[in-house]
Amino acid sequence: MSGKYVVSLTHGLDNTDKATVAFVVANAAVASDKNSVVFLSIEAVRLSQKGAADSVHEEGFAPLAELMANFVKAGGAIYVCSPCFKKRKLDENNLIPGAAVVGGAKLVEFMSDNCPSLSY
Amino acid sequence: MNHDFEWDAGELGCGELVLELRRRVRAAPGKVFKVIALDAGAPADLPAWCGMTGNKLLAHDAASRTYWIRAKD
Repeated sequence: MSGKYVVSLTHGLDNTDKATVAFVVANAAVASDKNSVVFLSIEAVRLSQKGAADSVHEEGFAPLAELMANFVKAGGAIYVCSPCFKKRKLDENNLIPGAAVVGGAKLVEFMSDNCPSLSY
Repeated sequence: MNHDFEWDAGELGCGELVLELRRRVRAAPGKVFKVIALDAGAPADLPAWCGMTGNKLLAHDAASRTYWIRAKD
């Protein structure tokens, strides 16, 4: 069984339900001692900015910012798609803790050893 | 069954349940936890989580939605 897990998230404030569930599942992965990464691409890259998730609280779930912080605190990493980030002119100096802007090679390297993934 | 700690997780489920459970068991290696988890997914999730993490599910009472888990050393 692989010790890695990737959750790929392409939505942010445009679909807060998907964004929330993605981080709930990511938390299950990191809690299960998987080396876990959430890959933010497309609109999800906006969540990499401090304060961006603060207004999101889906019914029946913890607030999104809390889910993201708990994921990082538990040892999870957040990869942020570099071209998606650049396209939206986001600020590298305003990243949330645990987030790193990466290119595709970094993700491919992480996933190169039969890494399971789930996409939202 | 004897236990060292009791945690009523209430309706917490999925990642929120196991992440908080991990935090608790990591702080008390070798101890037995009595966990009450009402989430409908818990009967499937907690045995799976124990199997992946090396914590031991000692017993499960479905009627009271209670689990006894020994934290790994």
